[in-house]
Amino acid sequence: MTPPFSYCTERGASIKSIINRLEEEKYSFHLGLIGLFSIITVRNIFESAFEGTQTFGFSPITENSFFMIFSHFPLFYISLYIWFLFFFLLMTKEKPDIIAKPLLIGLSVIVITPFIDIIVSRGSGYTLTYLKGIEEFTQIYRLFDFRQELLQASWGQRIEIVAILFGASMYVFTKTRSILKTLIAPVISYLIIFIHGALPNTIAQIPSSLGFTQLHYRTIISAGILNVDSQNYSIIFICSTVVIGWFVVRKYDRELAHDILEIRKSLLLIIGTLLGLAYAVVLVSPYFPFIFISPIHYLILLAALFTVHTAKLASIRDKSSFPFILLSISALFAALAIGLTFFFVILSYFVYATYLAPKLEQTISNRFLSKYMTVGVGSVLSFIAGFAIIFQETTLSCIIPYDHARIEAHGHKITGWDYFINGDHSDAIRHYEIAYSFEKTDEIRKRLGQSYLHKGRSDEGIAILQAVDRLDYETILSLGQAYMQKGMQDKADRLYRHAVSENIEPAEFLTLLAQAAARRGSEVQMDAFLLAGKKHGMHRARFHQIRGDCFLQSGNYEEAIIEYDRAIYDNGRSTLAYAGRGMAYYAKGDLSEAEQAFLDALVLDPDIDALYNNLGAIYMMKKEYKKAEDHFRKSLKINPLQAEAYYNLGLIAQAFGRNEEAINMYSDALKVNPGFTQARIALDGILTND
Amino acid sequence: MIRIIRCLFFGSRPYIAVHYLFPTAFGIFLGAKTFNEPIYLLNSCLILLSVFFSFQASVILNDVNDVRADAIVKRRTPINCGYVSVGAYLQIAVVCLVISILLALGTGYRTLLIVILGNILHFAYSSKPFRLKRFYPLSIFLLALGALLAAIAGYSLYEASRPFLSFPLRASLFIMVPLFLALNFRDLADYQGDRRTDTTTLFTLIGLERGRLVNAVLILLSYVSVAVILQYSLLFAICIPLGLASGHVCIQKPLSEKRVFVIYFVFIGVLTVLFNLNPSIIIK
Repeated sequence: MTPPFSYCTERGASIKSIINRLEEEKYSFHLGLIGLFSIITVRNIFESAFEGTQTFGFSPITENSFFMIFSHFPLFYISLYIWFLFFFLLMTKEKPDIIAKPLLIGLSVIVITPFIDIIVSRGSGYTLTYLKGIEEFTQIYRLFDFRQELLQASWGQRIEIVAILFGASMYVFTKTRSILKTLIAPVISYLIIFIHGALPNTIAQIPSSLGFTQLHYRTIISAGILNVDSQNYSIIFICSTVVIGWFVVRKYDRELAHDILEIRKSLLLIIGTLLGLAYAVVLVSPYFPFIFISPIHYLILLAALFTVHTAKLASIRDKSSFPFILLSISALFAALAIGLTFFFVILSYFVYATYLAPKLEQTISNRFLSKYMTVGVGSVLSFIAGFAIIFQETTLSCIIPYDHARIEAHGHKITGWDYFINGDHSDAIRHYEIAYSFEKTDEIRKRLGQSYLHKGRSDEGIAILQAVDRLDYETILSLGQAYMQKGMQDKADRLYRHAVSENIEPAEFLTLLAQAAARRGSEVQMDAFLLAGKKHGMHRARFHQIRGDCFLQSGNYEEAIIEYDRAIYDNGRSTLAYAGRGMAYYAKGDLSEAEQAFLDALVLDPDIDALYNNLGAIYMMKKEYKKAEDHFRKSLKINPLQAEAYYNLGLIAQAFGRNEEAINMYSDALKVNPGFTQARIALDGILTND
Repeated sequence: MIRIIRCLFFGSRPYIAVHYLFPTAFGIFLGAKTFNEPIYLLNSCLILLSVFFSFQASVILNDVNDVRADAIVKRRTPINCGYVSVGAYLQIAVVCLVISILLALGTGYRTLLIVILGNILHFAYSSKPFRLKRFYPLSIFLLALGALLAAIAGYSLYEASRPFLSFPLRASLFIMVPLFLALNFRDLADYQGDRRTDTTTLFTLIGLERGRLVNAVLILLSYVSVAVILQYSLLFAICIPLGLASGHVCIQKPLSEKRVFVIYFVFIGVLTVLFNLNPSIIIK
C-alpha cells in the first residue's frame, strides 16, 4: 500500500540530497560573503540594464548609481537574506552556518529575473515596483494569478517570488517533515518579502500619521540630511539587518551577541559621536527645520551609533577571528550608507585602532601616553564622524565655524532640497536663493534653475541653468525643456546634440531630437535621429511610436496607426503608443476605436490628465454628457491648470441649463488662460443672455 | 619581487590572456566603427590592461581552487611547482584585481561595472560557493560569456549608457557561438583531474575517445559558424580548412594546445584584416 505523501517523501529525498550536498560544501565565511555580493551585484547590474528605463547603473548620475548598486540594493537583499536565515533557524532548529549555504544558492534565483523580463517583454523591460505600500496588502493574491498581467510586478518577479516560496516550503519540509510548518513557510516567506517592499514607505508615513504636515511623506524617504535617496533606503535596510542579524548571531555565538550589546566598551566613541552630532544640529537647525521630524534621521543616528560601536568592537578582536570579520564588515557597510565622509572617518579610526595603535603602543615606551593617544584619536574622529552625519562633504570646511556663510549655505541647501523634492518650489527657491548668495555651485544653480522653471519663471530658470559650468544629464534635460517651452527649439536641439556628442545618455537625447523632428513633420531628420538612436540602444517600440507621432502630425493616420500597432506589439505597456493610437483614430473619426485605445492607455497609467480629457471629448461627441463630465473632472483633479477642461465642463453645464455652474467654469478657464477666446465668448454670451 | 614577477609570468597563460584581449579589442573596433569615432588610444589601453589584469586574477583564483585536480594531472602551476604559497598567490590575485578595477575606473564608472561583472563571472566559475565549472555545458557557456563581457567592456568606451542593449546581436553571436562550440578542448588535458574531482566536462560525460571526436567536430563547426553568422560566403574558404586543421590537432595524442591557439590566432589575423578592409561584414 502506498503511504500518504509518498510522492512528497520521494521528492523530499531527492531534494534532501541536494540540500545535504549544499550544506556539506566547505568554504570560508569570506567566500560565502563574496558569493552573496556577487549574486546581488549581478542582479542589480542586469536589472539596471534590462528593466525600467534601461539606464545602465540605474542612474546617469554616478553618485546615485553608486549608492544604488553598492549600498541600497545590496542591503535590501542582505536584509532579506538575514530575515530568511532567522526564519529558517526558528523553523528547523538548525545552526545558522548550516542554513546559510543552501539559502545562498537559493537566493541565486534573483539573478534570472532581468533575463526573463527582457525576453518576455521583447526587449523593452518592465518597471519593477512590487506592491509599494502596506495599503496594497490585500492585493497580494494578484501576484499569483498568472492568467493576468500585473503592472506592479513583472513576470520575472512573479516567477522569482513563486520560486522562493516553493524553495522555502521544500526546505522546511525536508528539514522538519512537518506539513503544518511546510504550509506556514511560504506564507511567512511572502510576508518577509512584502515587508521589505513596504517598509520604507511605511516608515516615511509615520510623521503624517502623527500630525506633521509640513512635508509630504515621500519627501521623508527621498530627501533629508543625506544627499542621495538611496542612502535613506540603505539606512532602513541596515537597521533591519542589524536587528534580525543580532538574533541570528545570538543563535550562533552567544558571547558575541552579548558583546554587541556591551556598549560600555565603546562609550567614549558613542559620546564623541553624539557630541559631534549635537554640535552639527545646533549649527544647522536655524536653517533646517526638519531635523527632528523625519524618522529617517533617528534611524541614521542609530545606524551611526551602531557603526562606531562595531568599529570599536572589531578593533579589539583577534584579526583572524569570525567576530572581527563580521563586525568590521557590518561597521563599514553601515558607514557607507551614511555617506562617504562618514565612511572615510570611520575607516580611518578602524585602521588606526586595529593596525596602527597596537604598533604605536609597542614603540612608545610611555604606556600612559600611548593609551591616551589612542583615546584622543578615537574621541576626535568620533566627534568628526558625528558632525559628518549632517554636514557630509562640507564637514571639514564647516566643523570650525570661521566662515559661517558655509554653514548657512549648507543648511539652506538641504532645506531647499527637501522643499524641492516635496514639490514646494516657492520655498525651495527661497532657500536656494539664500544658499546661492553664499555659494555659487553647480548643484545649487541646477536646483534653483529647476525650481524657477517649475514656477513658470522660465527666463530666470534658463539664465541660471545656462550658468552651470559642467552640463550634466539633469541640467541638459531641464534646460532643453525650458527652451522648448519658450519656443526656442533650435537651442534645445543644439543642447541635445551636444549631449549626444559628449556621450551623455545619447539614446535618450536622440529620442528627444527625433520627437522634435516628428512634431515639425520632418520625416527625414526624424529617421536620421531614430537610426542613430537605435545604434545607441533605443528600443524598437520607441522607434515606432515616434514614427507614429510623425505620421499623426502630418495627417497620415493610416500609417500612424500601423506604427503605433508595431510599437504596442514591441512593448505592450507603452502608454504613449496607446495614446497616439487613440489620437489617430480620433482624428480619423473612429470614436469607438479611439475610446478603446485611450482606455487601454489609462489602464497602464491612470494619472495622465490628457487621457481623461480626450475621453471626455469623445463622450461629448457621442453625446454621453454624464460620462464626459466625469472624465473632465477626473482630468482636473490630476491637473487643475487646464483651461480646456473647464471650458468643456462649462459647455456641458450650459447645455443642461446650469448657467451659474457654466459661468464659474468659463471663469476658471479664463483664470488659467486669460487669452482663451472661446471661453471669453461663451462667458460673455451667457452673461448677456442672463 | 622577482619571485612575484616570475610567478605572474609563469602563471599568466599567455595564449589565453591574448585570447581574452581579442574580444576587448574587437569591442573597441566595433564601437569606433559603429559610431564613426576614432580609436581612443589611452582609454583603449586602459581597458585592455584592465581586462588583462582581471584575467590574471581569475587565473590565480582558478589555480588556487584547482590545486588538487592540477596535482593529479601534473599541471605546472606556480603553486604546484612550489614557487609561491597559496596565501601569497591569493595576495597577488587581489593586487591584480585592484589594478584591474582602478584601470577600469580610469575609463569610466560604467565600464567599471562591466569589469566587475567579468570578475564576478570568473569567481562564480572557479570558486566556491558556486564553482560553476563543475557543471557542463554551463561551464563552457560561462567562458564564452566572459569573452562577450570583455567585448562589451571595450564597446562601452563608445556607448556606456546602454552597452548591453546596443551591442549588436550579430556581434554577440559571433563571439558566443564559436567559443561555446570550441572551448571544450581546454578540458581535454584535465580529464583525469576532472573525473576525480566530480567536475563534468564533455570528456567525463561521454568518455575520452568519443569526446575527442565530438570535440574535433565541434571545433570544425565553431569555425564554420563564424562564416554562417557573418553571412559572408568567402569566409567558408578560410573557415573550413582552419576548422579541419584545428579538429585534426585535437584528435592527435597528446593534445598540443599551442597548435590549436596558433590556428586560432591565424584565423583572428584573417578576420582582423577582413574587418578593416570591409567593416560592413560585422556592422550591418
